[in-house]
Order: sequence, then C-alpha cells, then structure tokens
Amino acid sequence: MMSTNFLSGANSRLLPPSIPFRFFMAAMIFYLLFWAALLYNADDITSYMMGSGPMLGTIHMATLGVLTMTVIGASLQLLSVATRRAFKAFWICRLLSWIYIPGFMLLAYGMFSGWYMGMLAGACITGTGLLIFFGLIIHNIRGVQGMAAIMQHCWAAMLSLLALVALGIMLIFDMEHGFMGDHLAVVISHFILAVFGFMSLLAMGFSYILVPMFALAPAPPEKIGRLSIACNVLAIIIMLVGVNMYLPWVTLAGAVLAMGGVGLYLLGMTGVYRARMRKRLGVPFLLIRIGWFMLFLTVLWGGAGLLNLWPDTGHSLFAVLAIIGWLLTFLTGILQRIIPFLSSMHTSGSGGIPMLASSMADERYLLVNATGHLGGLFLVALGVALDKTVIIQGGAALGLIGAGALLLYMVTVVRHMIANQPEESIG
Amino acid sequence: MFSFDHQITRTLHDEHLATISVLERLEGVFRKYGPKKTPAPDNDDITALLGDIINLVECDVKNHFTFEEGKLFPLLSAMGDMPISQILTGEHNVILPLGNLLSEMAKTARADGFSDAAWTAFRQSGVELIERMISHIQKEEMALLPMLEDIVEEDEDAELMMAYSEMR
Repeated sequence: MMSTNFLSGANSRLLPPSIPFRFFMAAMIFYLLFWAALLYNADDITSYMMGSGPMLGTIHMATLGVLTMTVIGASLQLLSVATRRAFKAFWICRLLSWIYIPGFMLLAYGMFSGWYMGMLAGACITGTGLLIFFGLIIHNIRGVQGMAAIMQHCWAAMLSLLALVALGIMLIFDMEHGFMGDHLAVVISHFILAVFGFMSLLAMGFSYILVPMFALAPAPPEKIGRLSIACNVLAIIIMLVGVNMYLPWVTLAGAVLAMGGVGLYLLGMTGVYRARMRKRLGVPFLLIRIGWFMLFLTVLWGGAGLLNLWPDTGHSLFAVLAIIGWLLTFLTGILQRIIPFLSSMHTSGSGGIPMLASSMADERYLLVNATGHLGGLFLVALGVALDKTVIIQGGAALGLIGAGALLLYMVTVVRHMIANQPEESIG
Repeated sequence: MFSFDHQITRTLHDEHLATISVLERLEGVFRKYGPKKTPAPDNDDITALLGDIINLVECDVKNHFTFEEGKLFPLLSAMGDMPISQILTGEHNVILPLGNLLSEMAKTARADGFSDAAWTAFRQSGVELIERMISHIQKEEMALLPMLEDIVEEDEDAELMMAYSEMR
C-alpha cells in the first residue's frame, strides 16, 4: 500500500494557513481570469499554434496561473505532512509567493499584449520563483524512506519543471532573436514537459495520497504506481526524442507507452474508488472522475493525432482536453475537497469546538462551480471541434460563472477560518 | 478493502464500516425528506433506522471512544505521538454529546413520531453528526489504525482484543 498513516501528527506539521491559502486564492482569481480571457479570445483558439499574443497569455493563465499555483500550495502542505518533514523556513514559502505571483502577472500581461521585455522579465521572475519551489520540494523529498512511487512522481515532476522553465525562457528569447532551428518542436517539447511531465505527474502522484484519504479507501498497490511512473517517464523521454528528431514513429511509441502509464494510473484509481468505504462522495468526486475520463480521452486523442487522424482543429481540441478537461477538472475537484478539509484542520485543536466545513460556506457554490466548469468544458470542446466561436464563447461564459462561484466559496471559507483562529496561527 | 493484520485494528475498522453504513442510510433519509417534509410516524424504514442509530450510539460509539481513550491513545502517547490523540479526543468530546442527543431524539421519535419541530431539530443534529463522524473516521483510518498496525505486537493485540471484548 502506498500511503499509510498519512495524517499522523498532521496538526504539528500543518503550515500556517496563509501559506497554502495564498496560492489557492491566487489560483482561484486566475481561474476566473482564465475563463474571462477565453471569452475575450474565443475566435483565436482554433487557429492558434504558437507565438505571443492573447492566446498565449490565456493558455498560461490556466497552466501557470491556476494549475501551477494550486500545485505549489498543495505540494507545500501535503509533502510536509506526507514525508513527516515540516517546512521550517516559512519565510522562503512566503518569498516564493512574493516572487512567483507578481512575476506571473507580468509574464501574463507581456504575453497577452505581445510586449517582449515584459514577457522576458516576467518569465525570469516566474522562473526564479519556480526554482525556489524546486529547491523547497527537493530539500523535502531527498532521502525520504517509503512511499517510493509517490516520491518518484515528485522527482520526475521536478526535473520536468527545470527543463520546462529553461525551454520557456528560451522560447521567449527566440521570439525576438530567432536563434532556434525549429521553434514549433521546442513549443511542443515545452508543452509535453509542462502538461504531462510537471503537472500531470504531480497530480497523479498526489492522487495516491489524496484519493484514498477522501474516499476512505485503501491505497492502490505500490507496484501499480511504480509501473505507471516508469512508463510515463519513459514515454515523455521517448516523445521528446521523437518530436525533436522528427521521428513520428518514435513519438507514437512514446504515446503508446504513455497510454500504458495512464492506463495503470487509472486502473489503480478505479480500484481505490470501487473499494471506498464512503459511498456518497458528492460533487468534488464527480469532477475528479470526469477528470480521469478526460485524461483517458486526452491520451487517445493524442494518439489519433500522431496517426494523422485529427481534423484541422485537432491540436486545439487536444489542448482543451488536456488542460481544461483533465488537469483543470481534476484539480478543481481536489480543491473543492481540500479547501474545506484544510480549513477545518486549522480550526481543530484551538481549544474550541472544531468548525464544520459545511458551516463555513454554502456548499451550493460547489455545485454551481461544477456545473459551470463542466458545461464550459463541454461547450468549449464542442465549439473547438466544430470551429464555432459562439459556442466557445457560451462555454467560456459558463466557465466564468462556475469560477466565480468557487472564488466566492473560497473567500467565505477563508473569512470564517480567519475569524475562528487564534491570532498567532494566521501568519 | 483495507488490509489490517491485527485483530484490534480489523475490529475497529469493521465498526467504522458499520457506522458509515448507518450514517449513509441516515443521509439518504435526509435527502428524501427535506427540512420541511416531516416523515409520517408509520414509516417502517425510518423506525428501523432510528433503532439502528440508538444502537450505534449506545453500543458502538460509546464503547469505541472509551476504549480508544483508555487503551489506545496512551500507547500512542507513550511513543511520543500526542497530536493525533489530542485531535481525536477533542473530536470525541464533540461527537459523543451530539450522538447522545440524536439517540434521545430517536427514542422519542420511535415512541411518538416526529413533530415538525422535532424533525427539524433531529435533521440539524443528524447532518452535523454525519459530517463530524465521517471526518473523524477518516482521521482514524488514515492515521490511528495504520499506526497501531506498526506499534502493536502480537501478544499485545490479543490483550487489547480481550479488553475490548469485555467492554462490549
């Protein structure tokens, strides 16, 4: 089994709530801005392939603004509990937010407006933040005994992070100076490393802890996690080789291996879900399960692309399935579950009666969020497949409503948490 | 399902399963009957469920909590893991009075049925108990039971099981 006494002594290893929650709050704001930007740029989505402009800013609003921001907050909190090594230098975690969040805002503005110097400066500042994150995580997981599969996911994700940051900065530099032989091949490599190498591997790795915990189920066998990460890492390396050496069959072989890795992960998660003690898992697990299904669709659709079966808008649909369908849906589900859980943990042991998560905020916000997000996903994917801007706009509008609801939920929970905490634990 | 090797952890785990099963049935009734839809007194399913709730609180919850506080938490404290015992004891102090209150309301309802006001009060307490108990079981399944698997020796397992059987 992968995660055993994950919560043991958790209270003594919880970070001050302001650290994870500042990243979650920023992620929720950028989640709202992402859908707003998609609404604004709906007519560009099917024609965009690479280069600066509003679409590049919109994509990074999702990847760096929502997904990475969420992953940073969740990793800092979860790893300190899972590895039983508390992050002691809180100031570094705070410094990370002060560098990463404004850096990303500058980068997104630079991308959106096509302002080269803004993009470059923003990318360097954001990259510095991500290097701090890399250092914090590596320091925490180095030499950890046990949880091998989860640690392997973390290591692979962190190495992907280093590579994707370097490629990202080089790509911006290339926009002005044009030194790369094949800009598109590097764009695809950056996408593979970011979406599959960094974010998907971390999402999958943390699934082995979070899904059994929230579903009250046994963790999947360690062997499944190890085989899955081995397939996925090898798949990413093979795909990168195939893309950069113009060997489509090698890329396809990598994709087939990725299907094996993803299949093993989904097999493990299905087993967890089936063996759960708690049968009613509510709206968050609806999102999580749809996220898993979208991951399955993403790899299938990616394989279809490599077999030249995509229509003209196939590449855009692939990005929609991977980013909105798999990662945003899955992480929104996890956030819906983790926000009330963490906030209730922060009110425990303070001497008073622990607050109920449901009393902190109206849970109907979560239903509105899920409806808006899933409706948005469906319409955006349909709009992209049919190349109809008005359908994409309708989807983005629905997503915007859903994101607004989750932001309101988050604000309400945080206000209650602050009001029910002793002053010294807020910092 | 979870694979626990010790008798005591398996027993506690089975009680968690039984508790979740009753609470999910209760949750199902709350979904069917909203705050303003008081069930009729001759509803056999609800009468049976009320009996199970009374039994759950009187037998399982009280004994389970007393045993943990008396026998298991001292073991954890002895090995230096105080925070989890403190969290769980704090939650016992909230859940048990709530369970007792719900049990009393269930006894009254079994005898006289629910008035609108009694149903509202029962539903309010029941919803709170479900949320607190599920979160509590989550902590015990993810922290307490795996730790006990690690620290309890075979002969100690038999002693704990004997003590728990006598208590029940």
